[in-house]
Amino acid sequence: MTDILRVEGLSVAVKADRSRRSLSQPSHDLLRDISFDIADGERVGLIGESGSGKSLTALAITGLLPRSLTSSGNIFFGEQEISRISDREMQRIRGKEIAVVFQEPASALDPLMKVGNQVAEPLRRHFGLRGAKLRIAVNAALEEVQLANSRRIADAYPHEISGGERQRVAIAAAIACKPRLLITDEPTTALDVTVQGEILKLIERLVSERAMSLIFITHDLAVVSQVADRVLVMRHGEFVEDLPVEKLLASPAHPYTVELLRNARLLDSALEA
Amino acid sequence: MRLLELRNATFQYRASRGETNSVGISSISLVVDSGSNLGVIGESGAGKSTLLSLLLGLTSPSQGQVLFRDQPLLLKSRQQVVQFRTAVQAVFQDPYASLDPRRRVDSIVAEPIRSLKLLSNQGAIDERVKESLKAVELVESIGLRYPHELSGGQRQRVAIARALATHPSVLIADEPTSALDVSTRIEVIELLRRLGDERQLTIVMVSHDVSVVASLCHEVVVLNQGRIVEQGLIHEILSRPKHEYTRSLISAVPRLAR
Repeated sequence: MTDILRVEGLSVAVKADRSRRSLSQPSHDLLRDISFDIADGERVGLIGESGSGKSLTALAITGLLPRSLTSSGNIFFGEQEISRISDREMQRIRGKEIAVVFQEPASALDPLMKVGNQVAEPLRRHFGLRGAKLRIAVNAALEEVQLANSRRIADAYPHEISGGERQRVAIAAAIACKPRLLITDEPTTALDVTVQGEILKLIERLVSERAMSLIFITHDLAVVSQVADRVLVMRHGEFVEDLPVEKLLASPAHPYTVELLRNARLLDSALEA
Repeated sequence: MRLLELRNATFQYRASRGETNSVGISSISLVVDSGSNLGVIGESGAGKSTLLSLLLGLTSPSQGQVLFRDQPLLLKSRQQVVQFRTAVQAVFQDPYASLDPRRRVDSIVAEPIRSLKLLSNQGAIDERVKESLKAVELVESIGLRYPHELSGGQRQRVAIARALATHPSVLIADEPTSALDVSTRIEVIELLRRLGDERQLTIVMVSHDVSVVASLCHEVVVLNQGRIVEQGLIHEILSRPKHEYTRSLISAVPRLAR
């Protein structure tokens, strides 16, 4: 298998601000020397607690790091080095080749724009679709994420639909252009348990049907064990472990991973009546 | 002893024009018995918040009764309300929102003692604050800090310390762990379990997460659309759920694969 993504020695730090240098502490690294690759069609879970650098890794890959941060290292998408390309070039990749679904669908969607238009936006931008062709593509994308009444949904504003429906819409917009890499950042954390299960199944089905690669970010080992082939464990901005799911569940090596697994097992065993 | 009871309680929200009355909760009966932690499981819109505001004496039911130590709870009776607030304390979901950012931790923890006028001597108040912080395994010096200096897990411990300050007999916890990481979540559950055992404290845990409820509670009530669809002992409901909704809730919990 060829690699779709290769990250080499990625570090992210807070930019030294000349005017505030006297106040700031010595430069603080948020990500330290991270390297990993993802094969075509591979599903990778990125797990760690709040502040471990999971989301920052996703932002670095998609060129969305805040301006106050600075990064070094290389990121290859296929053959192309994408960590130092212009915004304009990145926009051609983001949303078309690499798509992201965020945790909170209520804030990821524009509250003032009808849902159908938000799904249409990447199709218009990347494929130049207009008119009837665009409408058909939008409906197809909404049906793909099992939004039963796609016409009604397309015509609604985000506040008029449920949280689960909103997350389906966000997924529809992300996959509309058939990206090769899908990054989901805690996509089910804000949802009810039963809805969470449905969204997980949906992501799993879409990823396998389209043979997409997946980076699934979560703090929940049980969730990651459902969707990923391989797990990267992050702590304090570093990778502490990189191993297949079966191996992680059977024989984790790093003490932190052992702790994660112990806690996940405690919650899991509570359900054994 | 029956610490707290809802007897056929219904609470209706006033409907907006043209709509029929939407029911918050409808004919709910449940008992909080001393020594038996109760879990209330439900998803968004199930009526958990409405149920909580009745159990916390923040609103009165439109029909039915709330009983506190076998007496109807009358929110107009100042004396009974003071007893009630002393005995029934709460911890909320979001420790970033539930602590006053402008006050030091020691003053936050002392707040219920002050507002209920339980202790008047400053030395005794300080002593109580110290004891509460110790009970949640926080060092005494954290009393001098402000909430923004603390992690999510530490904040939730402060919220629990504040609830313990009145020496309550019931602790009502509204999704106390859902804003926390899995590891911190386990720590908070273990803390609540220990506090329950050591302090004769009965815990009412409201959550959408069956596994969290199962790790702490003996009995459980499953709420759906404002009604109880199933109630009983947790291990019986986990092994033999009767209602379709309960089954879907249990099977939806993500499990460790393989």
